[in-house]
Amino acid sequence: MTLPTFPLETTSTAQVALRAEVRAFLSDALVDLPARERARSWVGFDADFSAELGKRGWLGMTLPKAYGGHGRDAVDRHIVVEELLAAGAPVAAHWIADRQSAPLILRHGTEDQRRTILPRIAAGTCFFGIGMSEASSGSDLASVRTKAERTADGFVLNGTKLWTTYGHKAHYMIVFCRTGKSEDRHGGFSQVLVDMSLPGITVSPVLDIAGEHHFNEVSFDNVVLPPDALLGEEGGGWAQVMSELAFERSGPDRFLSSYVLVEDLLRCLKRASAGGETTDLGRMIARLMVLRQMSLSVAGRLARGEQPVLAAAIVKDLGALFEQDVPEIARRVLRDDAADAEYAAVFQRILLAAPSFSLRGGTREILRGIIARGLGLR
Amino acid sequence: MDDSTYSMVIESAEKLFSDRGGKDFDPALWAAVEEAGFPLALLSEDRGGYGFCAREAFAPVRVAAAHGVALPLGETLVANWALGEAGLDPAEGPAALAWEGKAAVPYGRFLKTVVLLRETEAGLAVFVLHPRGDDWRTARNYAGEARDVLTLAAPAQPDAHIACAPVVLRATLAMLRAVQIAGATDAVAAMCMSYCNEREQFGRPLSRLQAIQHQLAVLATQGCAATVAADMAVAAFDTALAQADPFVLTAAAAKVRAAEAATTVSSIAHQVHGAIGFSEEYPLHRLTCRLWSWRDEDGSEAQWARHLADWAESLQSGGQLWPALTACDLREAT
Repeated sequence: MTLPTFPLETTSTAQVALRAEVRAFLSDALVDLPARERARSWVGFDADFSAELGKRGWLGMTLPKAYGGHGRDAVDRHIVVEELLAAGAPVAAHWIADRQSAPLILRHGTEDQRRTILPRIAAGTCFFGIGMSEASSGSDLASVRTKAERTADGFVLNGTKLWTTYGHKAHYMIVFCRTGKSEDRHGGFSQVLVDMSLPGITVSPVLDIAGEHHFNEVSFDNVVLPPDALLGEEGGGWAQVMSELAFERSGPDRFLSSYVLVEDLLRCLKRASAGGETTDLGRMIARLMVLRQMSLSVAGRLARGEQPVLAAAIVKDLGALFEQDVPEIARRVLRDDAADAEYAAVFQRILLAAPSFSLRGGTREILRGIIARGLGLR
Repeated sequence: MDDSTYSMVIESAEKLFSDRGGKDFDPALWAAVEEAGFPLALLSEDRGGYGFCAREAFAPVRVAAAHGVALPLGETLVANWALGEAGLDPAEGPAALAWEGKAAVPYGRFLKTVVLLRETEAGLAVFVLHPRGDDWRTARNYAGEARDVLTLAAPAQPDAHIACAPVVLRATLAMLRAVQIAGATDAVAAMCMSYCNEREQFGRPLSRLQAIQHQLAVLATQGCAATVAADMAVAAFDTALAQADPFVLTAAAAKVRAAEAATTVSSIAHQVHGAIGFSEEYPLHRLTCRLWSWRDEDGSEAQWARHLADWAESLQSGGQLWPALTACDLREAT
């Protein structure tokens, strides 16, 4: 075989039961949430809902029990996340913390950082923001200017981060910043754990193309950080942030962002009296079935302790294409008179969110570069 | 998963099929295939087979497709399985399933046995036929593979019946094409990668050009999707008779997805190869022409897509697609 492989995962009886349990809970919990709200997908924020998931043991699932987690594997977590996203549950409050901050802290944090923070993430009461992009640093993350300077008793942080989703509600941000000089373009970086209640932090809203507020600009003006704010190794930030990004890339959030529209499209198609040309609908379902298997395969490899960076990039590239095609396919298969107001609202929300699907978590071009490297082409 | 049998099968298939690609049926190679036992792999040991799971049994089909081998290997494997399910002995020589009065039969003129299927009120009737050369109206697909139409009429009385819905057999043949597409796309990817690493333009290998790298990255993602599509259908085939619905849906999705991938992979492969890939002497077309044919053989991409769409639209009102999708998940063997 020339191409990267995706070993198939099968589902155990216990995993089928877990899926059913989550689905039953969601059908009660979300009964009053209209489709247009579900269409927010993982950008819908509801702190109470996150806390409820924490109570049920569905956050911090892969964290050890010693840190308030549940000692389950990546496949169990994958199943829970799939159900949450397929139902359009409002998961944004805990999303970043559960997906990437917790595993990052578990891997690189001090014992004290783990004991202080991880149990609160697992409880669904501690929210995180991502501190990577800046105004002049998008895909070229190595050009960041935010700087943490060592002082006698810690660090002083200066700089401005951009596109920080729910930065205005986050308790912590993990900020990727410069902590030293280096000849190596990827050297001299660190990650610092920033308590958002510290003085000197200004969070300003940045609206998206739909006029919605989830992004922010976060400025740090001489923010004094204690010495234990350092997360992981000083100067080792580049490798850490790359592995953090890898957590972002293969999950169900990479192909289910527009799934609520799929269900609403089918609802409207079933109401319509005469069937239209539905070949595209069938092709969409085929793509989804294969993507689910590919993403699950990566979860299986994560559960076995592997780091499938190439496979994750492939899932994200294919997944973003799928998510972005969903509204375009919907346009082709649904007759005008079969849509209703709810469908129109869902469609608009997905359409206006779609450009972000191939930007966040690594642009399409960055991913294709990673894939090319994985194939030995560069 | 115990991979030892699978690895052994792949290894012996690689040994057999390397450099044996071609356009015409190769009797000597077929004899070696029979010697290796590949066509009987799905049959239980008491029926003279090996009792392989589908993943092991279909592995040589993928390897043969990757090397552009012109043999009805998958067709014979599936025909023997169907004969076994009908309570009949395995076929002599190369064989294939054929639907009465319908489409072209793969490698028809080279077959010793045709397992003709007829949908009747009593179920799926099976006729074991041994056509002669003049029973065929010959034709070929885009790649030059024989696709002949049988002119021989079946007798009134069938030899047996198979206790399964006709769509299960149609889906099995569609799955077979997906497996072949997966094998061929992987080989096309290999060919593109080595060509782009060797061929220099503008003073450096093509593979150093970002525009080419991104094309090859897309090709790879599509090739991976085709392989996963085929793999999931093959895994579902193990329970195709007990759980027909999930198998048929998975095979339909596999055919549609692999066909879609075949389109993109062929297109990129020819683009990055430039004019040389468009020439008769260069081997790329042996694979791409097969991909173009296989996309629409045994149920076109569009037909299987409509099958999936009809299924989704027929889910009971108020019912959602999601639970129906997860009901198709591959289950751990118990």
